[in-house]
Amino acid sequence: MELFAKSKNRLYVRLVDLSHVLKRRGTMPLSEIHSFLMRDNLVAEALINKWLDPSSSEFLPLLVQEAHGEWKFAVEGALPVLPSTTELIWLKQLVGHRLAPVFLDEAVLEKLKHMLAEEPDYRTHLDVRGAGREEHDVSHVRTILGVLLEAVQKGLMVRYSSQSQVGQRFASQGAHVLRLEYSIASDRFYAILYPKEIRRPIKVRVDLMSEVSLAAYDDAEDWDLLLKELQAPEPLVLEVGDAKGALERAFLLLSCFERQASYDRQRDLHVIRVFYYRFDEALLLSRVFSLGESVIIRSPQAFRERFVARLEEMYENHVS
Amino acid sequence: MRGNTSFQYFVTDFQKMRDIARYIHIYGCYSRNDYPHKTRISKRKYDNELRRFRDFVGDQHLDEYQVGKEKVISTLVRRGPFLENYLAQLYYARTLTAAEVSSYVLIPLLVQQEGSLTLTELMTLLELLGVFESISRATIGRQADILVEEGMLVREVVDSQIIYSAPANLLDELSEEELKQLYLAVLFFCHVVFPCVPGEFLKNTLERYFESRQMPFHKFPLTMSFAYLHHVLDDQLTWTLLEALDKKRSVTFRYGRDRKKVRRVTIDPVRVLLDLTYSRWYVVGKQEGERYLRSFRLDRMTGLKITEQTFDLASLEEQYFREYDQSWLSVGKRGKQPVTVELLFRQRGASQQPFVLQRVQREGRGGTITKNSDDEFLYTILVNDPVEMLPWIRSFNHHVEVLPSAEHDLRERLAAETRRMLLNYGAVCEEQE
Repeated sequence: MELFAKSKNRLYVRLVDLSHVLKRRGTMPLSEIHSFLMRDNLVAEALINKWLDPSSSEFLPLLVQEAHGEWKFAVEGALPVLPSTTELIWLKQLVGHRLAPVFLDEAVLEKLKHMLAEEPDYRTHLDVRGAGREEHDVSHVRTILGVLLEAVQKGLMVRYSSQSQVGQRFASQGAHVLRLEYSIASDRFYAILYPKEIRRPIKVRVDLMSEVSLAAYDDAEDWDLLLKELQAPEPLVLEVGDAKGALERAFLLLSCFERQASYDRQRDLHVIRVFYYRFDEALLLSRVFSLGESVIIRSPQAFRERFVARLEEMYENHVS
Repeated sequence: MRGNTSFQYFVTDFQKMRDIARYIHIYGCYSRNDYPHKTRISKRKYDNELRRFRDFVGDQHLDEYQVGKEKVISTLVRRGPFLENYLAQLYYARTLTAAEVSSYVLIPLLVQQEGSLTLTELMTLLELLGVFESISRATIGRQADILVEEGMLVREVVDSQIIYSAPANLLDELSEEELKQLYLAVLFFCHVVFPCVPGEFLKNTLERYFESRQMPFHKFPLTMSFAYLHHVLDDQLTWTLLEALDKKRSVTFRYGRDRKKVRRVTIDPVRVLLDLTYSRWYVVGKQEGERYLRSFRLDRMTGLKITEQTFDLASLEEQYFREYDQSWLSVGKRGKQPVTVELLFRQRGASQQPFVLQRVQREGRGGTITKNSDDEFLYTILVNDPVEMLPWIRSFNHHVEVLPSAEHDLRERLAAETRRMLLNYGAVCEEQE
């Protein structure tokens, strides 16, 4: 049961979809079948041309000609669009996940568990290291997340109350929901909000929000532009050496950021430019530290100075 | 159209695309001329693989820029309200011949039309259709069995007769509201439940199911913080290893960082590990004749196959817990005693929130935390190889101090390294050494 499966061949998948259109329409001209197969298959045109050329030795024998230059499948009917074996095994992992009740009603979960009872459970063979694990009030997170998702989908604002991690309570206020995120490392859901009163974006833990309700439609700001303005004015420029696998580690660790890298063949030197949001600076600083001595910050100067100041303190911690 | 007739869009082996995808996505800094020098990938192979990569991943996810006179191609990582792992699209590139495609369409349609069919009946109906010039019973049987394996048909043997029928479709059993819930869950978990590629497949299946029933559906704006995408490039291997573990079968593969130093390895696998720090897969297993378990990186593995040899998984699991219980990442005991590492954390800065403590509670792999005061605590942990902890310790920068120990030299290493870093930045002079 290979993951790189024949039934997932992109053209085959399109033929399955085509069977549904043909079932509705009866027949189609070859040119339309061609266009249908070309959708999402970008430049596989040469192959599609061969498969749909009746004079070609590679013509698809499943197609038969009808009157007026129309074509149909040799057997009528629509192929079922159904989850493959690998998908069902994966789905069993999903329904067994401790966060599944955030998205699925108990009744749906039970139904799925029952339907997937015969599938093997691969979770016992897997060990994922580095994932956070919080105790969630699943029903609370589900309720809050549901309202936030609806707000983003409908472009509505929300009213909400919240509290800080140390228990300080914030009164109810209106905010635009800029983004919803989940962090695997911290096992937390976050909302990036733009409260009308303070007029700057804030990142709030979903589990610390309460009394969330949908509010009015708001188009007072260009939200995309606002997020753009939150980006650091200049990228973090790093020079990366290649000792003890540091080059690979640096590229892997930073591959989740928007970045541009360059390689100087003559000097065998790699430079990475990382584009980031200002609110991610602390995390980025921590990641650069984790890479150790093989990475040098070229710019921005302020980032570099902050890094060196911490480095000095770190050094003091270990020589006294 | 970018194609020519000699170029093969589809491939039989995922490995063919894996290397180039890794270089383009993770590094994204090499030009066509750099590849032979830096990666041992020839310019011709680069041209072909780039073309396939471009076709499947899509131009909208690629960035092209000039460095001097040379063009560099990389993937685009943009944080937006939705997350799409475009590298998973490469899993739709498996080769199928025109004859195979035709049988994969016609066989399920015939079975569906008739309710169920024996292999002989299936053969007869295909002959009556006259669509295949010459196709053997063995070939049809093989193709039907692939469809069974992939879940598109059900096979049973009744009175020595093989009978094929249509499987029940789980999606048909769910109401529209239940399907909507499932779709949202799959959109989220296809980045959270590993390996992710089957989840990406299921997302696509659900979207196509909705379309086939002309049901409206919406993408939900829920994304991941700092999501890695490259782990899916090894999902093919991961899935095979999980299957081997499930069947308690040994596996064999070629292994090595450098293609010239590749060796054939056969192991009894016991665990598949995913290190989320770098998003790298490992398999832990035991080689024949070896006393201890060891781990192998999947990105250095090729030609993985499940053998017929079975093994006792239960006893190997006991050994795994003994040897890997104190593993920070992927290093087992290998006969050595684990060592105690003591880290003293002092939260610096004005924040009232105990973010350092919370991070250690979240990310520490076992160990104990002893609070000294509101902003100071001691973290003590027993680990097989303390050097594996170094990147994590460094990431706490000025908030952490490694306490001296006779069992390891982490403190001395960190002091020496920090000094060299300060020298790099010109923050201390050589004379001060």
